[in-house]
Order: sequence, then structure tokens, then C-alpha cells
Amino acid sequence: MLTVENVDCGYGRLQVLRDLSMEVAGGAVGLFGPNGAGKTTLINAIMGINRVTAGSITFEGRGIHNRPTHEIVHGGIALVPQERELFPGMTVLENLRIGAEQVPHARDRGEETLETVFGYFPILRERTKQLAGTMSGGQQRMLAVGRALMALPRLLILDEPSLGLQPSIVHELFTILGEMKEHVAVLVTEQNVRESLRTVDRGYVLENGRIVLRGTADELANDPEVERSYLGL
Amino acid sequence: MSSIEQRPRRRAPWVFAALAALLAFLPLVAGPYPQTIARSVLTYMMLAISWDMLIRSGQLSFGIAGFFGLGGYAAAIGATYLGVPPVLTLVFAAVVVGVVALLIGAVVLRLRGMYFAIVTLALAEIFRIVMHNWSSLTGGPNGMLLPRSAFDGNSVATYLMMLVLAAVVIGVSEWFRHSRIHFALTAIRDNETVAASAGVNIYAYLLTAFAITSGIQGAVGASYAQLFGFVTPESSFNVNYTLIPLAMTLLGGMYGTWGPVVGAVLLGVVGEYLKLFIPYGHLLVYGVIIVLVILFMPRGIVGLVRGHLERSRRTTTASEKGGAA
Repeated sequence: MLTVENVDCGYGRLQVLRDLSMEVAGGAVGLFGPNGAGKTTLINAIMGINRVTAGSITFEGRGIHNRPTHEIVHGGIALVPQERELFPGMTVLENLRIGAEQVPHARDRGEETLETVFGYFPILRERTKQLAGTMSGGQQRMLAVGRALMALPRLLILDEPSLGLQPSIVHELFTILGEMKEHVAVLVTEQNVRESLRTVDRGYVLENGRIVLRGTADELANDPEVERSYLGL
Repeated sequence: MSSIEQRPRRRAPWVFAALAALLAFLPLVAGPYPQTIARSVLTYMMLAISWDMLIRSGQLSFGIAGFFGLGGYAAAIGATYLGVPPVLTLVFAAVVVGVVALLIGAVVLRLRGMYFAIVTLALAEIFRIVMHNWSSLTGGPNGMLLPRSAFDGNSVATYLMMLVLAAVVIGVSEWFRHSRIHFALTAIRDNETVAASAGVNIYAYLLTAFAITSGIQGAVGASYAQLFGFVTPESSFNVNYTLIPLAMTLLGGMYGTWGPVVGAVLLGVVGEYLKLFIPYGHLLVYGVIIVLVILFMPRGIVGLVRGHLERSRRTTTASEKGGAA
């Protein structure tokens, strides 16, 4: 579905990703690694926010590297960015509706998709009229995921969804992502490896802009290196 | 899914509309001098609205006077060389200036913030210098006379012409507020990365907004040319056409149609009154108002009133719920 092949990417003279290859074939894929490993850079390269200087990125057989971001979104990939992802002065319902508004194929099916989103996050249905900025961090994150879903993506990318959330909310969020991956492919970057390994089917470990480890969730969970560095056992 | 904002019905808009209709009607019976003031207020009001429409996307333009002056010259040139009828010069100027803005915008809208603002300021000066020196076409420093002015300068008729144009501009601004454009521009102002991630074609929206708002400024410039019957480089590109609308918008409140409207009426009328006592001193008063507003009332008058209304409504709903937050 999504294939990243031999990609180089960076900022100015600073090269962050080196000859990086990975793929998302369906289900949920995790992208792990410490701060500065290049996780967000890779996400931004996929979304057309960062320029790729070598290699290729294809989605459903079409090359998407260095295309404008809105085209990539219209083409079926949605992103939940790391922070400041909502319009705090707008209500929950407005935030959701604008998620579909700018995407041609999602626009006409807005009401339908809204029901799907409320199915995943019942709390949002109760709060449709509340201003997004007045909700708790966890609810805001769920709203951000909901808004990304409104664009009817076939691949949903989440950049560190657990950031700044209390453990019980993180647990809930990953449980919901587990349901979601049956209907839409999910790519999620995380530092909370323990929680995400419950949900993802496969994963990659990124260090210094290179993939150092890849495998199924079970393989990663049992890898001594992962255990030592990320699970803190 | 028609509009982004769905607020409960309120009486305030109707009161406001009635008041506006009364104010618009008043100069018709009050005589030529109030009509002159009203035409000037409407001129600045439209420029203020158009400036606000672009700032909603976060793009700060200092180029109002440039497109305003260009519109005036487009009207004069169209009327002189192409025989465009007086009232139609407004449409002609809007199209010419809109196309010019589209071509320029395609290049300069890659810039943001301070860089964009400075370039628009420079553009206004470039337009002025071109008109000043292209003597064979524009009459150079002496400017040019229009062969015939709209309604032969009839005071009531020209006031009505300005009123209709203002209604159109207000209509376009409200359309901006209540269509997909509103979300797109707000999102771009807020955070371009998030906007793009939500599928917003940033470049296309900015280019559209820039062309439309510049076109409005061009039409207003053409109406000015019709009112006074001539254009000159010094008067048509006067920096006041940039600064006064800006002050009016800041006073009234940014990011909406009614802020510039309220600001233009207040500052326009007050400025006219001050002229009687301290000629040219009114500009000083404008400056002081800008500083005071930015310091103590950053959301402007409309923002202040709206804040009060929302707060009182919230307390009512809270007490209806038995005080539960």
C-alpha cells in the first residue's frame, strides 16, 4: 500500500534519513525510536511536508514523494500531527466537519463518516457543541484522530499520539486504534513501545535515520535489544 | 454542512441591520455635505473590509493604496482610450487589477509574514512610479482627467453608486466568512502544516483571496476616480489609503465583516469632525487611536462587544443548568 524506498531526507545540509526503506501493507504498523531518530522527519516526508532528496515513496502504486501535502491528503492519506492539531476556538462538531470539507471525495459523505467517528469516540457525540480548546488533552487527541478520519483516508498516520497523555487514556486510545485498523491502515510513531506493541502488527525501530530493526509485534516484543532499550525490563 | 458556524438565532443581527439601513438612508435626506462624508466613509470602509479579508489568512498587506491607485488609473485609461462607460469602469478596474494581482501573487505569495508585507508596500510604490513616468499613457505627474464622470457627479446618484458597491463588497466578505474559504483561510493563519494536512490547497486559496481583495481595491479606486473626475500619481497612490483602512479595521476589530464597517463609520465621521478644528491633525488622532486600541482593545470594538455577549449568554446557560459548569 505505502512503500518507502531508499529515501534520503533532511533539512538544508543536515541529512536526517539515509537510504531508508519501509512499507505499510495494511493493518497497523509502528515506528519506534528515541527522540531525534527521524520518526517525524519520515512522516513529514511521506506527507510532502519535507523534501525527499533521493529515493521514492509510492502509495497504491502512485509516486507521491515531493507532491504538495493537500494532494496527498486528497489521495487518501490523513495525518494526526504531533501538536496543535485542532482549531481551539471552534466547536467539536465544526472541527470534525472541516476535516471532510477540503477533501473532495469525503465532502459528500460527511454525515455518514461523522457516525463512524462517533462510533469510535462516543464522548465526541456528547460534546459536539463544546469548544475544542476547552476539552481535556485526551479528548482533544481523540478529536484530532476523529478529524483525520473525516477525510476518509485509506492510510491514517499518527505522530506520537500518546504524547502528554495519562496512561489510562493512552491505553484507551490504542484499544480504539486496534478496532480502527480493521477498516483503515494505520502508521503510528511512538515512544510508548509497550502500549503500541499491543496494537500494531508489525514495527520498525529507527535510530539515527536508519532502520535498525524490523519485524512482527511479537518478534519485536521478544527482541532482547528492544526489551533493554524500550521496554525497560 | 452548509456553513461552518451554526449559532443559535439572535435578535442582535436584525437590530444591527435596521441601524445600518437607517445610517445608509440618512445622508440621502441630509444634503450634499453629509453625502460627501458618507461617500468617503464608504470608500475607506470597502478598503478596510478587503484588507481584513486577506488578513484572515494571516497575510499582512500594505499594498492597499497600490491596488486602489491602479484601479483609478485603470478606470481613467479604460474610459479615455477604450470608451468604457463611467459606471462600468468599476467592473473594468476590478478585473484589470484582479488579473494583475493574480500574476503578481503567483510570485509573491511564496513569501510570508514580514517579507510579504514589505513586498506589498514596495508594489504600491512601483505602481506609483510607473504611472508617474509613463507620460504618454497616463499624463505623467499631471495625471489625467476622466472624459465623463459617473452620473455627471450628481451627489445623490453617486452616493447610491457607492452604497451599492459597498453592499457588494460586504456580500463578498460575508460569503468568505460562510463558505469553505473561511475554514481554509483560518486554518492557514493558524498553522500551515495542519492546514495542508487537512487537505487545504494553501497556494490556491491565498492566490484567490489576494486576487479578489485586490480586485475590490481596484473597483474602489475606480469609484474614487469617478467621484473626483481625475487621477494623479500623488493623490491616487496616497499612503493614507493604506493607513486609514488599517486603523479603521484595528479599531472595529479584525477577522470579520462588521469590525471594519463599525471602525470605518466611527473613525470616518470622527475624523471629518476633527478636521473642522485641527486640519490634518485628524491623522495624528488616528495614530493615537491605533496605539491605544492595540494596547487596550486588541480585538477591537466588535470583538469587545461579542466577548460581552458571549459571556452573558454563557452565564445564562450556566444558571439554566443549575450552575453546573
